[in-house]
Amino acid sequence: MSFGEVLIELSRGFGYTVGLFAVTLVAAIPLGIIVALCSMSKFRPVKWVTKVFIWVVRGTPLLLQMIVVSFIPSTVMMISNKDLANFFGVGAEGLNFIFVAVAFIINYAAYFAEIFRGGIEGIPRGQREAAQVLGMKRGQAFFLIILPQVCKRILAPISNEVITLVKDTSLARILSIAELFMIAQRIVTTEAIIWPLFAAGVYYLLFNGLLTVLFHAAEKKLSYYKV
Amino acid sequence: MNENLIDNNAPLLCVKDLHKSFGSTQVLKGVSFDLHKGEVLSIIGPSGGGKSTLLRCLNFLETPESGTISVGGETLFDASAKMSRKESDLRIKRLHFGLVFQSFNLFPHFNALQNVALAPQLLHGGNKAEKREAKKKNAAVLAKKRRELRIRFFARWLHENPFKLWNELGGELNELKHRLNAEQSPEAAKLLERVGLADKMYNYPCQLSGGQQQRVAIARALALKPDILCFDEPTSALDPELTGEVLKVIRDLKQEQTTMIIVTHEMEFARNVSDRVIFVSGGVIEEQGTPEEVFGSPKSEKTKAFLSKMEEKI
Repeated sequence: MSFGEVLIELSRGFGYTVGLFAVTLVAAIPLGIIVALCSMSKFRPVKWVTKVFIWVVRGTPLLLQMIVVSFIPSTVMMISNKDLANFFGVGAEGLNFIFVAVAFIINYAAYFAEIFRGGIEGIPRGQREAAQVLGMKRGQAFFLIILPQVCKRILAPISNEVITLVKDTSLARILSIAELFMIAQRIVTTEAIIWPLFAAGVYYLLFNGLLTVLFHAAEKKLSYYKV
Repeated sequence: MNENLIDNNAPLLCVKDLHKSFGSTQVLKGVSFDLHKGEVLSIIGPSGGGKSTLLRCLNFLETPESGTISVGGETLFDASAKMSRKESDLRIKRLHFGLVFQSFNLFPHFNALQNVALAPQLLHGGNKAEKREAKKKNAAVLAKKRRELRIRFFARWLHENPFKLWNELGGELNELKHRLNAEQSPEAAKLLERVGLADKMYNYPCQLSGGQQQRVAIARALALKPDILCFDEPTSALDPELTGEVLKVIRDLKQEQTTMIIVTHEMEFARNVSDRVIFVSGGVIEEQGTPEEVFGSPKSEKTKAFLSKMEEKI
């Protein structure tokens, strides 16, 4: 395999990596907000169920969660993977990608939820009271007053999670998703060359560099006020 | 809000037998008082005596266990009756009152004008189609300005420092944006002028001094035209040299016949500005009367002790 061919192969794997990253991020952030609100609910059962959920998801390895998610339909729900694949209109590989994505979304939603909870609880009580006294509805107060301030506060911890997510996508190979690292390893074993592994590292590094720049820009954009 | 007050002698606000406790600590043990339209009432007393809790009960931030609150003859709260305590109903009832907090509680991500204009916009909203129309018009004006600035930038960027030029033109654009915003909420702009902050309209709270922030907060509370404006120790979080500007605004409001309840530790101010003074200690009203009565010849021992302690401080 020539240098160019290896890079093309790696880029194909990188596509999966970015795809999984994007799907997880887009779904886990709103889900995380919902989980965070549930974990702060005044209705005790909801609160405790959510707390247990967060405890379990954060307390077990993502690797295990992916395997569990992939086994649940066939063992607990008695639906064969073939039927499920047909239902979604995807092949076996596509189905695996869905399993992985679901596991990632659940896992990251739990982490995001804790960050959001911290952010929301960190907003001084006076902000909500000021909104109440001014006759705002609860939704208005949350979306116009609380959430913008939360966004600014949690930017740094979220950027940590997001960068971890990029690297965690390499775990997807446990369900034989042909993501960047799996491709690199495959090339290393078949071609008996070591450098594709480092090339994969460079891919991760550049992608994370881009994210870092973006987060810095966001931070700068929000620096016009202090919370 | 209630223009249909038939009997002019009837009090605007009637508070009867308010009780409130947090856990096993009783904070209010039966507080009753009346307030007439245009009157200024000061509430003084030692810390932890229940002054702030009383104000928070009036604004429905706390729910009293018993007692009634009525404004202009309308019973807003009656603990014994089965009244709705849903947030959506309280929301409307709160609008009778305005509240200025000790710690200002301005919204940090909005500038002064937005802080004042936001609540009326949300409440009255106005016609949606009209709003959209106005937005479109503003966008068109801004787009035109952007085009013009771009041309000016490219005409000059080789001749002067391009970074400086960019910032200068950006400032011009911001100015236009601000002007358009102010045109959209003329009432908020007027209120800020009234509290002497016409030149700080587009500053964010973090760019304002404590006194300025508190004045914005007062304008914000006035924006909804409450029947009664409440102040919860408005100058306690301020540096001594900044209290004057806030107290002056409150004095101006008295000139305009605003009905106010002021919880304060500024004894001199309470004496000068208020029509009536209430001394609250241990969750009950120990003494009430005109400032001359309460400050000049206090009857209760507790009032005497408190006032002499306050004097010692000076």
